[in-house]
Order: sequence, then C-alpha cells, then structure tokens
Amino acid sequence: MKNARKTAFFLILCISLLLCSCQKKATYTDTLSAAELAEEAIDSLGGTPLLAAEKGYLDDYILIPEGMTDHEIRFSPDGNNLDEIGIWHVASSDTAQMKSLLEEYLQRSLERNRTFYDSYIPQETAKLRDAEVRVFGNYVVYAIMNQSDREAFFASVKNTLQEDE
Amino acid sequence: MYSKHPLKFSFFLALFGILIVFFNILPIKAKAQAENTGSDPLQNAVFFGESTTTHLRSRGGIPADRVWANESGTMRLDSTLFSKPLTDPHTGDHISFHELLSRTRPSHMVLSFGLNGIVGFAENLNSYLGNYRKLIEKIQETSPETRITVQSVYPVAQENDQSNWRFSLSPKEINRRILLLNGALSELCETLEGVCYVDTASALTDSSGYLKTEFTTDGIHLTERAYDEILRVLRASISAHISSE
Repeated sequence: MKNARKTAFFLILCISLLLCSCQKKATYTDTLSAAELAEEAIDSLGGTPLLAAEKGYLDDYILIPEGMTDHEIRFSPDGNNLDEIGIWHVASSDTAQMKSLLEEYLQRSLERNRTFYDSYIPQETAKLRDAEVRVFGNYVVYAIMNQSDREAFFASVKNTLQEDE
Repeated sequence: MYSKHPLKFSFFLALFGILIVFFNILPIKAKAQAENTGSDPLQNAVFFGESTTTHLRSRGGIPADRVWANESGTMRLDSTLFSKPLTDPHTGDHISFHELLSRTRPSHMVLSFGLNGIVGFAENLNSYLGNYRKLIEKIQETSPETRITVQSVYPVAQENDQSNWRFSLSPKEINRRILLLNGALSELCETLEGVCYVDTASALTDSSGYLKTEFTTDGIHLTERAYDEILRVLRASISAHISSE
C-alpha cells in the first residue's frame, strides 16, 4: 500500500514535469518603440482615441531614471474619464525596477487624488484603485481602466508583441 | 392744425424720437468707450483655473470665450496639467494648454489653482510651487506680452455649510493648508518678474478663517455675490499694480 502511494506520487510528479517542459514559454518581440506598441494595441481595441501625454507627465509622482526614456502615455480626452495607459520599453535588466516605479505612481496618484476624484467623478475612482502593471518581455505596461477594458488592452498588447515560434 | 402740416409734425416727431434714442444710447456708448480705453483692467483678461473659475461664466458675468477650462471644469495643477486637453472656446476643439495659448496669446491671464489637490499640495509644497512656476514660464515663453495675475486660493466654509464634504480632512485643516499655500504663492510671485499676486481670499473670509456663508452654494463653490467681490478686488489690485509700474 505504502509502495503504491509512493509510485502514484512519483508518477504524478513526472507527468507534471513533463507537461511543464512541453509548455511554450511566451516570447515577445523587442523591435517596437513604446509609441508604436501603444498605437497598435490601442488601434486594435477601437473606441475613442486616446491622447498622448506631454513630457514630464509623471514628474509629480515618480522619478524615472535616466536612460529609461522610450515610453508612451495616453489618456482619455474626456476630463470625466480616468482611462490611461502607459508603456515603457526598457532593457531586460530594468523591467523589475520599472514595474515597481509604475506601481508606485499608481499608488501615489490614488492617495493624492482620491478625494478630488471622489468629489467630481466618484464612478471613476475604482479604475485607479484596480489599475495594474504587467510585464511583456522588455515592455512594462500599466492600464487605468475598468476590468474588461483593462483585460482587452493587456491582451491586445500581448498579441501585438507575441512572436510566432 | 396738425392736419394742415402733417409733414412738419412727423418731422418733429421723428427728430424727437432720434434725440431720445441718442441720449439713451450715449451713456452706454460712453461706458463702452471708457472700457476700450483701458479703464477696466479685466476687460480682455482670460481666466484659467479650477471649477470656481469655470463658474465665472455663469455666475461672474465673464464671457465664455474668456474662461479656459476642460470639459468637466476640473483642472488640477500637477504635472499632468499641460497634457490635459482644454476646450477651445472659439472652435470647441479639445487642445492642449500650450496650443490654446499659442492660438490665442491673450493680453492678460488670471490664474487660480490650489483647491483641487490641496491635500497633496500642502504636503508637497515645492512640487505645487514648481508647477505654478512652470505654468507661468510657459505663458511667458509662448506669449511674452501677456500680463499675468495669480489669485489666492479661496477658503472653504465651515462644516455646517458643507453640503457634500468629501475631503479626508476637516474644513479647518483644509483652510490651514490653504493659508500655507497662499503665503508661499505670494512669495513665489514676488520673485517672478511682471507677475501680480492678488489676495482675493481675504474678501471672502469670515473672522474665523472660513468662507463666508453668504458667498457659497455648497461650502466650496461660490455665489454671484462672491464673484462680484472677487472681480472688485481683482480690478482694484490690478489697477493699483499697473499704476505702480
């Protein structure tokens, strides 16, 4: 009985390892600029075009280290809509740092502006509260959107970047 | 007698009518001419700021084309301000502040920022002042002839007068922070050439430091009377500033 259990456990372990090794690791292209990626990912979503932010948009919230310059931020032209996305194209060694910085931006923006948004556009605050940062290869991407739009945007980024094997 | 000289009678009647119209119009025309000669220092001023600026259209008698705001009327002076679109009052286009400034190049701008974001601003005073400085520098670079007036931040009313208080801090604490901002703003303007700081807040403040009850609709936003008072203070201060130049 004891031996049977051991054998079953060993078998399950082997099958799991086998399945893991069969799974394809996602590979992403590294050739698009942040602006090109934003353009393609947003275009495929349709809807109202988002406006590009000027330089220094995040200056009040985080200090972006020199060298991490290739980025694109776009936001809704409607002042009552908090929709916003940001894409940074960085070296693979910088993705973790960039992710952490963008998470800090989202957190600070929520802390500082929650009262203001709650006063004027309370239905929008949840977008900022639930905002997310994800990494796709050398691209670090955040999205301030409602859940379905956010998922659609991240899926669009992934599809744009994913390379065929 | 009238029937014998119908032409003469109608001639005098017409003349009489013309004279009445002329003398009625004259004072209006004279006032308009006085304004054209610059007696009203706010005559061509463009107002740029938060919701209390937006309401100048409806409660302050300022024409819509001289009030710059976004669709929602909720501008906030942080690093995102220069990216956020404004509505061009002439065309209805959504364009950046810089673009609207380049298109319009107003002769005078009155700025008013600070309540939207007050909690964060008071904690990051340098960042708030830095953004104000950047805003002023952008105006000076793009439109060097524009006269710039910076208004103080208005206080908020006491708790009893607040209809929908959402700040995480009490009105008393918010007003303490506004005082801090106004002091720093006044000092900043002293260091900037050609920029006039006007303390409009004092005229709206009661003896306890709150926005006077009669000047507010909901504890934050202002009544027509408040706008009369603000515009009176602005006119007096700007005239004095111009005279001292």
